[in-house]
Amino acid sequence: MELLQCHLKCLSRDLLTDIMARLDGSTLASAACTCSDLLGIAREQSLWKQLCHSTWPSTALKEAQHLISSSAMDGFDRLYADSYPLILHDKVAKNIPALTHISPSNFASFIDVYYSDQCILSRVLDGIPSSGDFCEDDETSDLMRWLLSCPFTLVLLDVGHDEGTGDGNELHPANNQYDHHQILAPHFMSFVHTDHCNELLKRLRLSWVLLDKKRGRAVNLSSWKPLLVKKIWATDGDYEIHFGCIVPVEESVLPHKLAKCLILARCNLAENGYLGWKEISMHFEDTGGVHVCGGKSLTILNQALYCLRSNSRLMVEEGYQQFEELKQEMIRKKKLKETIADWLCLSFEVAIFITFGYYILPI
Amino acid sequence: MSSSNNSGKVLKLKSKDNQIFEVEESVAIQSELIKNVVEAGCDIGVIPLLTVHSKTLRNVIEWCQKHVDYVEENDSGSNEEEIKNWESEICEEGNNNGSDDEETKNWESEENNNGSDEEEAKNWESEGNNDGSNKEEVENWEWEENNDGSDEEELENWESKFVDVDKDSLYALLLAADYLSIDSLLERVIKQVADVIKQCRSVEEVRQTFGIKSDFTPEEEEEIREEISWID
Repeated sequence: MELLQCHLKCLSRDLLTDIMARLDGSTLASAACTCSDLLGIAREQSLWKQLCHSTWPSTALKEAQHLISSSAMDGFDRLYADSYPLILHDKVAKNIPALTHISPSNFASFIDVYYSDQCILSRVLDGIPSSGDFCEDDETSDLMRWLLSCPFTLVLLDVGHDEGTGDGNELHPANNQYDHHQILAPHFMSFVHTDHCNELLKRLRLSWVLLDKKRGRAVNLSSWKPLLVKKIWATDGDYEIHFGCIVPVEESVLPHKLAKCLILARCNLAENGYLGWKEISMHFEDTGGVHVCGGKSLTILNQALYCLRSNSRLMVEEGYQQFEELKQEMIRKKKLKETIADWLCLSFEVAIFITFGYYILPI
Repeated sequence: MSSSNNSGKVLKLKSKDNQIFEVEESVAIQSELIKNVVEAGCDIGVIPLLTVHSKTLRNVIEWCQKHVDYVEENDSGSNEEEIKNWESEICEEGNNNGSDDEETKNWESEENNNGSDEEEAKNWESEGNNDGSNKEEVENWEWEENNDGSDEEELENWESKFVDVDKDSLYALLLAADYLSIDSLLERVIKQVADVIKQCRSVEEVRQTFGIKSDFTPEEEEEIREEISWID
């Protein structure tokens, strides 16, 4: 009785392609490494395109497809390989190409928000909205100078604070402008006034893929899982959720060679059971917690595109913890310095007073 | 009325190692290959399946039988209901014919209409009668759909157990399903193979599991590993 030995290679190409189409990215890449036949199949862009679309639904949007195809990006396999792992804070990458000029319009962002593994929001952002239309080479234009020197924020959406002060205007389902930002909250979130931070922490995920159209590189700036969730009782129960990463930078850019990319998402739960998004934006901070300006932010974005990545979520979280500890340390040192300075000034004043008293009073 | 599933015809399939299997036609035609043979009228005598071993063929027949049984179980309910509906329609038409006749007689006497108009009137009336039974049918379908959930789950569990076999058997099933063109089996086995690959944690493990020999030069191997370094 002869039973066939299992030889995957002996299968027809069609069958192999069908099988490989059902693999996730890492497994597909591993399988590609086994032999030349599988490598040939794994190099088919359709497989990776499907993987990208299912992992980041924003890349399937028409605008996104146009941006990706017209960019210098090598292919969907490159896009997946760049965007799937997260940024590792450990060391600065070597061989970052020298930048002559980084224009905000070089960048495009693909943002996806997920709840319980289901994508609830997908958006594409081309360029940096606040930069407006300006000539790429015109670094001296007022708008460009303003952008480079002011605190930099990349905003996906911002409903604004003065709208919807508790009457839920912005969350009315019939209001088409905000329809896209609403998602029916799961039934256990029906109690508006209880604290749902834990649920959001467990189930909410966000991905922010930044694409450099000119150089064909991408990076995921998010941490997937929230780094922090808090309820802001002062604003009618808005939830503020932090995502992000720690980007290693060169010493010339920032002290301590680390920058924190903070993605801020703000939402609230309306009476009608909808989760409404109020703000999703991204900016950089240094170890002192100071908002970084436009010029440096563009440099940090550039360095992020070339930095090392890891699939280990644990290492990424450790990096974040280390950054926060460093930040606390900086704040403590600063306070200590200020306290010492205060005491010195006080001692000096007291000394002068005593001296003054010693010489003047006896007279 | 749908055609009877029990046509009673039995086909003979011969495996690679010359074992003969007698299979009902309704089960065997789950395979597109056998279906084509039957439709071409070449099913006299024994159908040779030269690449399928008897052990695998036995399993394949079991799969096909299970799927035919599943379809029958879920259809027989609707068949009974449909029969009831048709019966009630016929009764209703029978009851209504009396009044129809009177009406048409009135029309004839009043307007001297064409025969086609009478027929049209009868058709409209019988259609009107049918609407009631149509609603019942729709309700029946809805009821069945609600009940299908657990049946589907049961089938899925059975299928998962069926493909939970050693790699060699799985490989044989895959080749057989591909050769015989049995879509449902092929789909499920492909999914299972993909799941087995996903469980491998490294390139070496994939190679070992599936008996793949690397045909790369050391330089090529290094280059490719460099390319996929992002998975670590």
